[in-house]
Parts: sequence; structure tokens; C-alpha cells
Amino acid sequence: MGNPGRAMSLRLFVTGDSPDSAIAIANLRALFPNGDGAHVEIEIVDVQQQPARGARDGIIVTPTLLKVSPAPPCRVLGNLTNREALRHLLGIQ
Amino acid sequence: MSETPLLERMRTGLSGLDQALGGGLPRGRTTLVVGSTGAGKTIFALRVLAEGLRLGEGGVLLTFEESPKDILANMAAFTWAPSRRVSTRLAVMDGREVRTAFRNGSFDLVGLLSAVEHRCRRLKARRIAFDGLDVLLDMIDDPAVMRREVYRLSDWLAAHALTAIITAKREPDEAELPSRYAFLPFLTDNVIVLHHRVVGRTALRGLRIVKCRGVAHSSNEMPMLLSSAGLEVVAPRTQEMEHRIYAERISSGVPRLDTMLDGGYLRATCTLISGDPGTSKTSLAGAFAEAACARGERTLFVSFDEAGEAIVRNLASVNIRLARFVRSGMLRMFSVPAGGTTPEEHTLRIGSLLLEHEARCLVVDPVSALIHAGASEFAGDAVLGLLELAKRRGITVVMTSLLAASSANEDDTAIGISTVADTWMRLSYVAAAGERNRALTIVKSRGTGHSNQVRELILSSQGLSLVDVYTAGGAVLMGTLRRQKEEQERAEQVRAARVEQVQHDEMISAIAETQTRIASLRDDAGRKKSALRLLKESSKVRAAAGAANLAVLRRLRGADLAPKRSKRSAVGPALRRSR
Repeated sequence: MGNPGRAMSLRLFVTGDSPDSAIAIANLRALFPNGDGAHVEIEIVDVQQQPARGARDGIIVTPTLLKVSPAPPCRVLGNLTNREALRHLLGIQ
Repeated sequence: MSETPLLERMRTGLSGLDQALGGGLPRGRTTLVVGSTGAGKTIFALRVLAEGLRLGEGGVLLTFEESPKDILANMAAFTWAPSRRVSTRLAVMDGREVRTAFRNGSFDLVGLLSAVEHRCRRLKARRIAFDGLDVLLDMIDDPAVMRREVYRLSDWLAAHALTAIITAKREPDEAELPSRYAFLPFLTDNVIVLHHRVVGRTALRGLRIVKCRGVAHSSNEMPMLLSSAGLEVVAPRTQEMEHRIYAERISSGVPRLDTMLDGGYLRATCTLISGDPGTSKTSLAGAFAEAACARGERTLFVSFDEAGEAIVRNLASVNIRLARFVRSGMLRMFSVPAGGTTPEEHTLRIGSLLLEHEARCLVVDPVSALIHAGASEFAGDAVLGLLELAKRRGITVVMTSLLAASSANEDDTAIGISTVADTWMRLSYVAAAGERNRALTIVKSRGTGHSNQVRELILSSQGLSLVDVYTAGGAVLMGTLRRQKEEQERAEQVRAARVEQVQHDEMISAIAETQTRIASLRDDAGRKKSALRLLKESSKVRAAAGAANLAVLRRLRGADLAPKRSKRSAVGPALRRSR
């Protein structure tokens, strides 16, 4: 399911250097080992630095991963420890 | 965290709660509000924020259950909805995303707090509410993590000197404080539980302060109700009975009753009129209302289960004319179905209507319907609370109470209202000679020398009136029997009067006759006197004439002085002849 060839836009909201935030960043990067830059756009937002951006997307807890596109958008709460589930959710082979 | 030696209080806007807490919740502290669905948690939180806005304090609400749009729309319906101007200082943040989000690993509330902090700083917020925090906590599987995050939250709140309301849901069958969040009460300074249960068909609401650090408070459940004024908490009644005492008497609307009561009802007292159905309790109460309005005193007439217009129309048939006062606004008829609402809700509404109408007199018809509404355990307190409000405001109250026809002890009115009523009148039927008549007794009347006699209450198109009853051989005569008795007495009086009249007339004519007789006798005597006089005169004349003749004769005869004898002898034969 899903099409890895299509462009994907992800936004990860973190808070500074909290442990869960660091783990989430590592887990997300591990999902794209080949640096799948052409197809995946990952933006990391620190809500402590940019509270307005967190507010705009209704971010309550951190880390929160927001799949902006392709539709439908979805959000994942947590440090993304379960990479298998995440891969499944995002439709990545 | 800046600890002031004396706890600064923050008004919640729920006046009853503020009263029970001695001014409000302690500022800068966190209050956990627990309640089942529909218990009023969100409204509680909104009320606290709205009060802050009113006092110039910004606020932030983070909602995990309802949409911000719904919340703002709901708030706008309440009488205390913040004005457009101040509502710019309220931010409603949507936390519902967490419900639909996927969970993947652990997370913390740091992001939440930085987002909230951002808003708080911008709005200069001093009050913050987390509505439905349990939704967020349920996302955290690990109890240790949950505890850690709640600590983080409470530390953050304390550090920012924010006064917080955290609401959490409780399942209907759960304990007052759910064991799932057993640690929450320990991490919060204050805990308030909102109750919402259904007894019979009526929803009963209550509020209980489980704990409030540093504040002396009652831990008893207080009745609460939800109306357009939001949540209203009925604070425990104050023990002191400091009311202004009035000595003024005001008319009951029935002149004879005023006489029986030493001039009427005392101002700012409560009169209870109890009786069986149809004993004209409402008419007596209506007469009071009419008299009050006629004196220019604004009056509130609360009727249960009967429309105000119907009462006005019915009372007009006994010459109690209320329609004109309704039109002029002097009288406010307030009619409400008794069922489906709790007594405390009724009494609070009546209380606010009293203030709104600036009423000086109040009629509650019947108070028994109010008491039996919803089978609430607070009924007695609710009514007493209303009476106390009325007393404090100098409002004179007349309440009717329906006695259950089957009631074993008919003097046993519901929940001892009769003990708080200053005057208690009982209306009853006296059945005799195939008819039922209404009898009125004054059972008690504080501070009033009152008649202990039974009176018959009569309704007619002329109005209400009280008449004396007859007691004959220990039985009280009323209605037809009384009228018969009256008729009988009246006939006797007429007969006696007639006899007297006749005697009087006879005497007059007797006197007249006697006087006539006296007059005629006097006439007779007069006539006889004149006859006598005439007689005397004529004999004198005759004598004179005789003497003259004799002198003439003597002269003619040339005789000597004649002796008397010869004169007599000369006359004697002539007199004898004439006889």
C-alpha cells in the first residue's frame, strides 16, 4: 500500500533537547536510511523556539509527528519507538 | 512561587461556592474538578475564566473534549458570558487532536506547556483551565510516566503563579474520585466533586469540596443547579438569624381576617395556609396579593402546575381582580411545572425573580408541590433558604400547602415548614347536614394576639369573607345550618320587633285617647264653670233688679224702710209660682 515514489511532507514537533524529542528525531531519520530527500521532506519544529507554529498546528504534546501530505493528514504522538507501526502508518515499504 | 502569608482568594463567580470558601479559591493554586458526564465540569471551568475576564484577568482554556467553537457558543448562552471587549483576553486551545492521533512511544507535556506559556504571556493570563485532562492522561500507558507528567504540569503551574482548574471525568459507576487518577488529588491543592444523579425522573446536582488546602470549609455536599445563570451553588445556610424585625401589619386582603390577626400579617414574615384541595387556599393567597398590589407593593406570585392566567381568571370569579396589576407590572405571575426540576432549582429561580422583580410580597402556591418536586433530599433546606432570603429582604411571604387527603395527621405539613412559618392557618372542610363548608383556623401566629375561634370562610362573587360560626351543643354550625340558624334568629327578631311595635302603637293611642278624654273633660269643666258664672251673674242681676223694684215700689208706696222679711214675702209667692 502507498506509493513511496510520491512526495511526502512530514513535520516533527519537538521540545529542545528533551530525551523523547531526541529519540523521535533519531527514529524518524532511521526510517529513511538512504536519505530519501527527493521524495520525503522532513521539517523539525522546536515548539519552545517557535511556540506560534506549535499553536497553529494544535500541538499539545511532544514529540508529535504530523504527516502534512499526502492526504489524509495524520498525527502520531510519542517518540516513534515502534518503527514498524510507523512505517506501516506512513505507507513505507 | 510567591507564597503570601494569608491566602489570597480568587473569586470563582459561583457565589455560593465563594461564600462556602470564604471568598473564593486560593490564588495560584490548582483545583481538580471531578464529575461524571454532564455534571457541569466545563461550565465550571468557563465560569471561573469568565469571572477572571470580568475582573481584568486573562485566561486560557485547553479543551480535550469539546471543540473551541462549541465551547465559545455554549458560553455565549449564559448570562455571565464575557463581553466582546474582554473576550479577546480568552484563548481556547484545541487539545482534541490527541484523541485521534496515533500513539507511538512515550511523550511528555513539555510541548503543551510551552504552547500554553506562549498564550498566557500574550494574554497576561492569571487563570487557566484544562478541560478533560483525563483524555490526555489516558494516552499515557505507563503510570510512572503519567505521574511524572502531572508533576511537571503542577510544577509549571506553580512556577507561573497561575490559578488552574483541571477537570477530569468520572464514570457514573465509579467512586467519587476514580482510582485511575488516584494520585491526581494528591498533586492538586483543592478537589471539588460535582455530582449529577437522577432520582425518580429528576436530575439532582450537587457540589462537594473534598479538600481545599489552607481553607476551612464544609465537606458536605451543597445543592447545585444549572440554568441560564450557569451553575449556582447553594451555600450552607448561615446559622445566625439576624433579620430586621418589622412591626408593621399588612392586610391579608380579608378585613375580618385582619381583625383576627390583630391587624394583618406582620411584614417580612411567612404565612402558611394549609388545607385540603378546594379549601380556597389560592383565593386567600390571591386576596393577599391583590391587597399588596393595591398598596403599591410589587408582588411575585409563583404557581406550580397551574398557569398564571388561569389563576387570575379563576380569582376574578371571587372578586379578586389581579389582571389590572399584571398589566401594570405590579404583579408578576410566574408559573412553572413542579416536576422535572429540583426544589433547589425552583427556589433559586424564585429567589432571583424576587430580586429581579424587586418584590415586596411573595406568594408560593403551593409550596407542597415544590417540596415534593424531584424527591430531593435538599427540599427542606431549599425552601428554608428561600424563606431566609425573603426575611433578609423584608419580603412578606404567603405560601399555601396542600395536605394529602389521606394524610393520617393532617397537621403534619411537609418537612416542618409549619415550624418556620410565623403564621399558620388551616383551612378545612366541615361536613354536616349533607354539605361541606370551609372553616378557617389560625393554628399559630408568632407575635400576634390572634383569635382562636373557627370562622367560616365564604366565597362569593363579592369576594372572600369570614363569618362567625354557631356552636350548638358542642357542634359547629356552618353553611346551610348556620344560615338556617341565622334565618331562625332573624325571624324571631322580626316577630319580636313586630310585637313591640304593636305594643308601642297601642300605648301611643291609649295615651292619645286619654289625652283626648282629659281635653274633653277640661272642656266640660270649663263649660260648667261658665254656666256657673252665668248663673251667679244672672241671680245677682235679678237680685239687684228685685231690690231696685222694691225701692221703686217703696218709693211709690211711700213706705218706711221695709224689713227683709217683707221683701222675701213679696218675692216668695212669685218664685213659687214660676216653679
